[in-house]
Amino acid sequence: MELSGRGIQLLRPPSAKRVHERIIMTTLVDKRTTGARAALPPVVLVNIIWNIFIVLGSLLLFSTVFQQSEDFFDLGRPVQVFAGLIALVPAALAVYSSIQLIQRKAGGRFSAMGMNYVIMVLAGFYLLHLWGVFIGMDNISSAILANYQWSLGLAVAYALYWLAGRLEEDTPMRMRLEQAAIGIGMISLILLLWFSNILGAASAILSTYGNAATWITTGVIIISGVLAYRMLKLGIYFNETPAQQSAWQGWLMLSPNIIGFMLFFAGPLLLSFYLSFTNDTVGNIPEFIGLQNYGEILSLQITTTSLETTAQAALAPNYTALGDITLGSSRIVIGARDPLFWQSLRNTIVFCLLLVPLSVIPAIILAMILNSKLPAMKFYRAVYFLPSVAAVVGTALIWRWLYDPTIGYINYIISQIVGFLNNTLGMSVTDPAILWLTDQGVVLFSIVLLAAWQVIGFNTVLFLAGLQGIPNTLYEAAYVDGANKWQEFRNVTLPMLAPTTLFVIITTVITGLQVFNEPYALISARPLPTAATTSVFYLYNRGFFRFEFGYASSVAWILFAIIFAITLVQFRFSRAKAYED
Amino acid sequence: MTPKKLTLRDHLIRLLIYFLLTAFALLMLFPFIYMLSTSLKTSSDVFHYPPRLLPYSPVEIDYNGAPAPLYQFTIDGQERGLVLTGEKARFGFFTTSDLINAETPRDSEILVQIPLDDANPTGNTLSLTKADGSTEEFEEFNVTYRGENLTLLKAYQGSLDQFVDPNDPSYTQYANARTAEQREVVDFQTENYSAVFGLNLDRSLVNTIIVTLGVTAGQLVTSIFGGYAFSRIEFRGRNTIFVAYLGSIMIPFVVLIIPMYRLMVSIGWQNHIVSLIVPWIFTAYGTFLLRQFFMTIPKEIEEAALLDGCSRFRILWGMFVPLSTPAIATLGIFSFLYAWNSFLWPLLIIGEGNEPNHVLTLSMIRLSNIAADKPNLVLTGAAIAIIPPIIVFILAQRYFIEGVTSSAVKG
Repeated sequence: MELSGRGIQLLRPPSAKRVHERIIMTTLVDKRTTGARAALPPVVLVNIIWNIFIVLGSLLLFSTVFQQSEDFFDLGRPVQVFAGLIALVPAALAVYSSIQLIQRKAGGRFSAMGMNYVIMVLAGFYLLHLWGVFIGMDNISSAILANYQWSLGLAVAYALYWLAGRLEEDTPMRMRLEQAAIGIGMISLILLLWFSNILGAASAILSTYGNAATWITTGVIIISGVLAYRMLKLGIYFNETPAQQSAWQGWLMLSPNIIGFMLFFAGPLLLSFYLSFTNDTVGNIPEFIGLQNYGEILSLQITTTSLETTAQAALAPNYTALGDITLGSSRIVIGARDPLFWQSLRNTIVFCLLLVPLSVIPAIILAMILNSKLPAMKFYRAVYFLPSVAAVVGTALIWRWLYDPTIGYINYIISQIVGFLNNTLGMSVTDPAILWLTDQGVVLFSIVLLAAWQVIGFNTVLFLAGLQGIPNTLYEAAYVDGANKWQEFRNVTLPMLAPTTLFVIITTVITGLQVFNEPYALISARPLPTAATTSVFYLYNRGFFRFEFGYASSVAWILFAIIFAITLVQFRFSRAKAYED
Repeated sequence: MTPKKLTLRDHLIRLLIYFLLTAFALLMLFPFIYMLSTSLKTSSDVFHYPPRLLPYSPVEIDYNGAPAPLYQFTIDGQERGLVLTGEKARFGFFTTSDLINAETPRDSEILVQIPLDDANPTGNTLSLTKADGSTEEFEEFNVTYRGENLTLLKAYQGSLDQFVDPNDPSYTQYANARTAEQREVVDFQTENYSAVFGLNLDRSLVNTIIVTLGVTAGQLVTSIFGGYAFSRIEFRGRNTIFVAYLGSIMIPFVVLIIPMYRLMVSIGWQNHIVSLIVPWIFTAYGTFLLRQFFMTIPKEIEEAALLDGCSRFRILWGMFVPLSTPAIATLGIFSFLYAWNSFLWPLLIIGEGNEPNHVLTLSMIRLSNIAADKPNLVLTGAAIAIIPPIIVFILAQRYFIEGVTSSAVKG
């Protein structure tokens, strides 16, 4: 591994003075551990007092949560209890940390550090909220649009800087370019900020200090921040081991991810699970109804009946017929309580079943061709990859017009071919004039074609990587054994490509099961025709048109269960493959 | 293997391969070509049948002080451009009794068409019996056509529009203006782009840029820190968190949309740009990608720097980040694409009526509704949304391919 020059230069060794200090501190620690213990350092005392405030604040928060009415942001009692318990965690931690600190144990330092840090971060978020920064982000684009000339100045500065980076190092040209870029950038930024009324924004932030909450939050940030930092510097006093040092450094570096994970993943996931067992709708307090949603969604009834009765009559009153099969003189009827769910699931599965061959088989063939050592193969690979780069909404709108029955290219080409067959070859074929987006029998296939077009290039690149991973020795061995091209493909390429194929199929199926953008943008009719409704679209309808959040959450978890089962299959196979190797 | 001399057969196979690859490439590119060509057309040219790839617009010239469209006529093998005068004349359409179609006279083969005033009725009529038993009467006329005197039957009559040569007002010609062919030239309607920018696309383009920059920068920072901690710092609980984090990749977004929506509503971020940025700057995939790359950097270099007293932070920014440019570029590009093309979340969280905060994907849908009969404008919007990722792809193709391939190695 080569190290770039820049990487090394930045790592200047610490000054001799710092190393010297380190040695002195280490000897001090040795003395302290053997001798009698001195009084607690002032920082620790301050932190213990601060912990009292944390306990008080935590209790205050707890009581505020419980003083809220029972609906608690329309989420109901269980969420309120949960939030109350979370509010008590700092109090418990503060008590623990105080006891540990008095006993001079490392655990006290770590819990104090961690808690102060998290309090600082969360209070920081809250302060930004009080300042109106989050909501104020909406104004950035008006400011940029109103002063786009200065924004362009920033872009020019960046381009110049990038250009300078291409030049040879330490040349006067590069220096001058860099200086010019920085100059232009600074001037544009200052002008942009000035004309975007930065002073107005600053005074708006200052005016939030008329509110006591802003003062308190700012104070909390400063105190918890200073305490966290000072406790961090007390490592020697608490006999910090290198392992402990690594631990807090690790947690610190992971902290943005962990905080984000908790707020925007784990929390919502729990909430979703809870909501799926409630009858939550907009404006109502959710009530716990157990498995009722799941029962409603999944209930199927299968009965046999004679041919004379209608399918619907054979079913229980709250069931709707999904379909029936005639077997001899009797008829088997399948009914569901939520027929739309089953229809959308059927559509989704059909979509995946059509998408897999349409996007995988061409991809394998293309990858085999592109894997030959001919020139310009990288160019073709790039061209095939292009559709997967573009936004689905945009490409769907293009296809909407390609599919147009009167002016669209697809029907035009079909009628040209039909005309050729009839006029030149003397056949009599009727022009199908397919209504791609309105014919209920065709519309799903139209969505599949669009999706296949978009994903073929992506799959080709995956297969290409798989092909390039096949060791050449296998082909040489096959050549020595006198295998012909077909045998080589059949006995070397295909088996060696199996893991890639499985991976490609599974990813295609998993993305296919979540298809939403394609039907949404391709078909303008609302409500979306049943034949084009996919599972996620159904979820979207239940959740965001009928606002049945509880029911929609149950649909989401059922979908997740299906996707998870498919992922497990992949894990199984790749595990089995790993053991084989 | 020794290099072989290429035989004729090899050359033919190569030719076939390139032919197939090019044909398929054209197929893949066609929707984009169609998008660009339509985005440069006029609203009426879009509905021209058969469809054409190049954008055309009618030629207009000054006639009697006003702009008038020029029509294309081929007279005696010579092309002439004529303008419509607005005057009409009644014409008779004449033919022989053999060629006349009694069922639908308008389908008869016409031999002569002249103004009715120039034809003289002979007074005779011919009665023909139709399939349903009724009779149709046709009058007989004496007509002069190209100096010849003919006696023909009038199949039908109708009014035709007068066209005139603007350079020679004495030269007139009669034809049906609806079916006459307009003279057209290739003309790129670049003003479609400014028209679409005026329909809120300017604002949503800037919004999309802001969201994309925010999400990409945020994902890079959190992933660099997270990837470093997961790959290089040993501490208790790390592996548990890592497994949980990896597991989160498996949870599909659909499970989260409802609670995330509720969360955004309760903290007041619904309908605001911030809801498109802050929740999305944490990425398990990115953290995993950078962790895998950081693992390949030799430990010895880092340990030496640590012994010298360098802080972890300086090691990360001074050593790991410069060494990992390819992985960081790959992640940056994927974050960019993900943020630029995202649709479901903006659709849920930014209301339809809240146009100032729309991103491009939302604006495209809105455009497709308000300009439902103007595909040229809709596809101009699509072009504005699609071209930037394509440019980024062309500039940074290598990192795209690496990113896709690395996800396959994982599986």
